Order: sequence, then structure tokens, then C-alpha cells
Amino acid sequence: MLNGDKFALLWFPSFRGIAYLNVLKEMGKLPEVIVLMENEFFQQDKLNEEAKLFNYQAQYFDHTYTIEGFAKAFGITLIHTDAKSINDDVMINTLKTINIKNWLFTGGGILKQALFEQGKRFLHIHPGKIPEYRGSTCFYYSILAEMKLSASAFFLTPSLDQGKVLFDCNFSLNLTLTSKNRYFLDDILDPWIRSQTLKNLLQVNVSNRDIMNISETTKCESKTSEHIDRTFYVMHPLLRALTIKKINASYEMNKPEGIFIVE
Amino acid sequence: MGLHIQSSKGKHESEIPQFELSAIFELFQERRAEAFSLLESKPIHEDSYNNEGISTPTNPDIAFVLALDISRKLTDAEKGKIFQLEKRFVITGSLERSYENMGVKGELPDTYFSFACILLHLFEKYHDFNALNSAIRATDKACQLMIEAKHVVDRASALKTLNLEKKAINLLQEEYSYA
Repeated sequence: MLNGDKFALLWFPSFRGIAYLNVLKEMGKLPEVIVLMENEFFQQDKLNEEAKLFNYQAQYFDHTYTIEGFAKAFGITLIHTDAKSINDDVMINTLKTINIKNWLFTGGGILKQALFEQGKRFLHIHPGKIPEYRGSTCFYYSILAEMKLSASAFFLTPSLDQGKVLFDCNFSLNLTLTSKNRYFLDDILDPWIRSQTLKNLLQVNVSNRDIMNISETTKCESKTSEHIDRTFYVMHPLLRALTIKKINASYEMNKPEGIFIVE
Repeated sequence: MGLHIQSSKGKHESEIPQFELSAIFELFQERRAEAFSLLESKPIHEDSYNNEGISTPTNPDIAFVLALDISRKLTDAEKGKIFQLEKRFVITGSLERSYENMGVKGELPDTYFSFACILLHLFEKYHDFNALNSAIRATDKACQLMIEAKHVVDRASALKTLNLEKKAINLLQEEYSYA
């Protein structure tokens, strides 16, 4: 995965996963095998109308791409499981039988200790700057507090969002959102910034020394205060609405619209 | 559409409800107006409120919340304790240690107004948006408990919390209003 190492894909149906597939296809970086979990809540077609209306496919990623289509196009073996969580016994047992060290993680829960005892590494892209912004919906907070947007790549460790950061990307936003962009933040912006960070990570040359160190359980020390160095909780609808209001208030009509990587 | 989310315990990310943006501010203001109205209404004050004060809770965590003096600088240990309780509240929707004590009958709105007040103080002092988020949730719960039970012991504290929350949200709204 890094420096041409073999890798496998741990598939949890989600727009994050689909955004990753778009990037892997574009870059020709193909997993050796794909292990599939189930996500009964995932509705791929819920985005159809909105994506068409706002042309998300051209600007961001093709949300209709399927894991089956990806595997078939590139001749990749799919291993189906009925696991609903990464920690289900069937997943733990299935992973044990596959002799690949590097795994690209696409969701499915917080890994429990048993998965770290198999000598595997799970690459995760987190939608926030580490250590300042931890927690699954932290990007809302970074926009609300600072109008900043970042994503960080690291190998998962037993402590939540504590892995040593391999690579991070900063983004800028220039958008107006209405009630018609109902799914944009969670299902387009979040997956897209993660996928672009993955893309950039796959393009850089991460040294062997870094790779040796990344599986360490490294506690990142906060550069700021303890108030920031903690996991952000799922955001209240009112603050989500204020976040959207802030995005809209920051919109500059004379500048290009979209989400942009800050070099 | 319910604005109050009981807790995130056991919920998958996909289960988190989606809200219509246009309705959120309106619904939130309606809920808070109802709470203000209840606290300011004279008949309820005379019939249901008493001046006995809150008896010492058996749960030491709740006793800690009710007794904490936020007018002075909080120690690291106190802040650590608040964050620990915040995490419990976010996960379980309650400050109670056992599930048996959770729910309208066993819990006082005063506890959650006080807890929200502490968190709002942390937001004000440290720009801690996580604390603001939890404060709004705690105030949601306090209002819900108060409206269902038509009871609050410390009216002044409840009003102070509601006003602090209003101030914080108004500030954000002004900052993010359209140019």
C-alpha cells in the first residue's frame, strides 16, 4: 500500500468506501483481496437526486460506483461475511486466514484489541487534524470553530485517533449550502476529503523508518489545551445548522466554488 | 421531529437523524421559549416550586456538579471530572451511574441545568465547542425533565443557564450571519 506494499481492503458499505474506490481506480492501486462486511443502514441510492442536481460526480466522486463493479473490473477476489461490525468473530477469524499485513479501513466500528494482536495494520483516514480534532464528526467542529478542514492518515491503534500521523491534508471551502444539499456534508464532503488524503498519501514516498514507527501506540501530545485534546462528540442539530450558516457566511462569490486542497 | 437526542449509546452513525436546516432554529427556539415561559410563569412558581433547596444527592457525581463553584478557576482535577461526566452523559444520556436511576422520576432538572452551566462556562472561557455541544444537550434534557415534571428547585440557576446558552448561541449566530 505504501511504497508498493501489498494491501487488502476491509469493506464496510459507505460513501467513504466508495470515495476510496474512486481513488484506487484512478490511481491503479489495487488491493489483493477485499473482505466485505454488511451495513444494513447504508442506502447508496439516497444521494441520487441530490448528486444529479448538484453534479457531485464531476466535482467529487461517483457515488454510484459499486464494490462488485470495482472487483469485477480488476479481477479482485471478494470474500463475503455477514459481519456487521469489524469486531464480529467472523471478521476476526476471516482476517486471521489472510496473510496480508496492510489493510485499508473503510469503517465498521472501533477496533478492539483482538484485531491488533494479529500483526496487521489498518490504515485509517480521519476527517480532522490530529490531535486537535478527534471523533468521527469532528470536521463540523473544525469548521464551526475555525473555518478549517483537514484529514489525517494513520494506522489505527488501540487508543482512539492516537496513531502517529503519516500524512495530512488541509482543505479550504467556498460553498453555499441549502436544504437541498441535505447529504452533502456527511456523504460527499467527509468521504471526499478522506479520499483525497488517501490519494495524496499514495503519491508520497513514506520512508521505511516511518513505516516501522507507525504501528507504535503513540499518544499525540496536544499543542493546545486539554479542552481541545479530547474526542469531539456527535454534534447537536443546532450546532450543525450553525456550521452550515458559517459555511454560507464565508462564501465569496468572486472565487471558485468547491472544496480545495491547500498546498 | 424531535430535537432532543436521548443518547448515542448503541447507535450506528447512520442512525443519527437528519434534520431539515430551516426547521432547526425554529424548533430550538420554541423549546427554549417553552422552558423560559414555564420558569417565568407565576402560578407554576406558587403551586409547584418550593424553597427547600436541593437535598444532598446520594450520587457523589451529582453532588459534585451541584456544588462546583465556577466563579473561581477550576483545578485540572475538577475539569477532568467534568469531562469524565460529560462523556458519561453523552454516551448514556444521564449523569447517573446506574440505569435504574435514569429517567424522569429519578432525575432532577436542576442537575442538568447546573451541569450545562459549568459546560457553558468552559465554552465561554476556553472557546471549547465540545463543551458547548454537551451544554446544549444537557439543557435539552433539563428542559425536558422540567416540562414533564413541571418542577425545578432552583429557578434562578435554571434561568441563568438558559440565558448563558442564549448568549452563546446568539453570539455565534451574529458572527455567522449573512453579510
